[in-house]
Amino acid sequence: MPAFSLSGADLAAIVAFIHDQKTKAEALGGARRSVDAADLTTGDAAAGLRYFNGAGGCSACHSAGGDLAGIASRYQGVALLRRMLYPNGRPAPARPKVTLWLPSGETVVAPLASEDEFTIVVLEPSGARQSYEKSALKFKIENPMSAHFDQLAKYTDDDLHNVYAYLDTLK
Amino acid sequence: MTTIARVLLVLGFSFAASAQSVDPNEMLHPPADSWLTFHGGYSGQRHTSLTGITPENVGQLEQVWRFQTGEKQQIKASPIVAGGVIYITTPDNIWAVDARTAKKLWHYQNPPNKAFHIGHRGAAIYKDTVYLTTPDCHLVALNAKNGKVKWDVVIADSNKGYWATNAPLVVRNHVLVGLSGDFDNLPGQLKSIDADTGATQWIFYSTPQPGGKDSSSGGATGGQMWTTGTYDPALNLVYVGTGNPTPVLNGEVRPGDNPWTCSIVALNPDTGKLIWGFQASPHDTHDWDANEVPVLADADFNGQRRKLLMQASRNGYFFVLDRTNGKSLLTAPFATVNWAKGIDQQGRPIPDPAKFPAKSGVLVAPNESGATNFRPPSFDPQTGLFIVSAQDGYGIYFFKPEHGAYGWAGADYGVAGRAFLRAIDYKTGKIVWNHPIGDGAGTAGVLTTETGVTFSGDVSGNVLALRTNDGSTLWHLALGKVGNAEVGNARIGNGPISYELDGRQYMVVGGGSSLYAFALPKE
Repeated sequence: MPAFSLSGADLAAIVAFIHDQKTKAEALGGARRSVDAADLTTGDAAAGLRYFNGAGGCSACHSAGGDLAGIASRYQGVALLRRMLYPNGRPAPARPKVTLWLPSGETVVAPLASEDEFTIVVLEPSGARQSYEKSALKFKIENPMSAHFDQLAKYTDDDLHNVYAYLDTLK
Repeated sequence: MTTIARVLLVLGFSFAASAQSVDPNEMLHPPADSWLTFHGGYSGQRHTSLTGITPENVGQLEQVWRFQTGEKQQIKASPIVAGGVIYITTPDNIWAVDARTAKKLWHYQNPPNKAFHIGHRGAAIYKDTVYLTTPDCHLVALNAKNGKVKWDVVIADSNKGYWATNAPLVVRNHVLVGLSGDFDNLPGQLKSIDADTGATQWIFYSTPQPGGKDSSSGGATGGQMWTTGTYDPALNLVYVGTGNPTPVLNGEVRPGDNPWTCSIVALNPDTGKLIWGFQASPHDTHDWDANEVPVLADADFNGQRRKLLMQASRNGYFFVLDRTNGKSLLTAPFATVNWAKGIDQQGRPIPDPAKFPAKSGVLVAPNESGATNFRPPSFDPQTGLFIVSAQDGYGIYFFKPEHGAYGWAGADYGVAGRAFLRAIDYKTGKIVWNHPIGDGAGTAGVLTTETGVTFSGDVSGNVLALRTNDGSTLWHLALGKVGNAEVGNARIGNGPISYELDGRQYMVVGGGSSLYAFALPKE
């Protein structure tokens, strides 16, 4: 190891820094750790673009010039990765579209507010929530998030790092 | 009223009061008016022999009572029932409640403490004593009649990072209590406490003390036993699931299989001696406890009557073992899995190093919350179906050396999941039916009845009755709703139970911070 030629003040600062790092590490204890954006930069953006437009089928719903313009300015690191894999959180992704064929003959198309095995709740234009019993009518729910869930079974880890690298270029 | 009637009334009353004392032998054949352990009995089948509620009449179920704890914590505990009294817990709290009316008989509250209040699984009973574990790692023995403290012993040091949620298992005079603790490198402990005195009888360590000479775990600590085990009286063996190793996501510093973490262990309840162990997840790096209920059944397997042990494990695999010796009979996935390269000769999944947590992240199925978890399953002996609340889910897992080797030692995030009630044929591992219950993961356990009804819940706060043989919906009720108006989150967080009083079968389930009792209308 080469000899250091440091002033007493610099040495003291280094010692203080090391003590500070140790204190910070100990303060973390056994808690969950975090992920740095730099940890995620293993992918190949060009391969990601090919996957986006090809095997991944992402371009069926998304485009760099449209909904994804500036996405990497809005989300970074693990937040961008999670948003890419399954968009939840803020802002909320588009609600599924519900088509209801009511016994009266009327057809209602509205965003889905919530759903369980028995009931569909839709948002009316006024913002009110209207509940329908599934057993009493015909309905169809188109949920764009289904494609994201299905994609989870198709991604290789390289695919997802490549797509991340591509999205990270959309600043 | 005649004198004789008065005497009978008094006798009847005193009988009901004395029935609050549970003879440990009753545990072997629980009476119809009781639910004596977390699982009801010792087998972990969570199957009631009561026949009052049937597929034909379940649609007439009505709410008989609701008991509100007044606490914010969701009820995750299974109630126990003895002598017409229900005992229900949340962290630091236990209530005794009349099982017919929900009238509060007494309430005990542990002093405030700063230990981890993640949840509580329930109480245990022996003679006239009820046992409560507390977040700050006390075991409190309470008089079942009035809630007065008989004794209070410390079972671990909560300042070191242990906490307790465990519903103890009573075997004769052994109160078996397990601990929790994932954020510190602590050995897994199951303690046998003398039911009468509170003295420690033995301690089973699933992993050795850190820094000691025993290197059998490859340096791993952890393997906490935080759920309630099962018991085979004929073999005199207790079966307990053990939790994940610590450090949790950093497997590099603990090479090898890390026994007995993520395992099912068979112990002698009189000595605490390990008789056999089976690892559901050798060298786990994903927090997949094998704490799920080790369900016991005597049933045919490949044409032979066998003493079976079945577990739907958090790692996504369904295991059938010979419980006399721990040998594997069947291993099959019951949910989406992508982390194993195959199954080894001992019936254990072989971890794929490509799915170990990595610096840039790997996509893993299941996610940390698992293909199932603490929510108890049920085995229906009539159909041979093992019914479990399952999740098909994905998570991303990270580890780099800078994350260190203490506690969690990494990072992971759930991505998405889909929840199902899923029926597994125990002989083949094949999925017989699959009933979607919403996005994410379910929290309700499962109860089956001798008449072919399966009770559970969905992720939206509905209590469900399904037909056991095909999973079709027979009845549902949205808890915590009046009309369409929400009156609080009433998501079901425990396993339904059942008992019979005065010839009437009750089904009790926790929704939000309340217990709800259902029964058929009185004739």
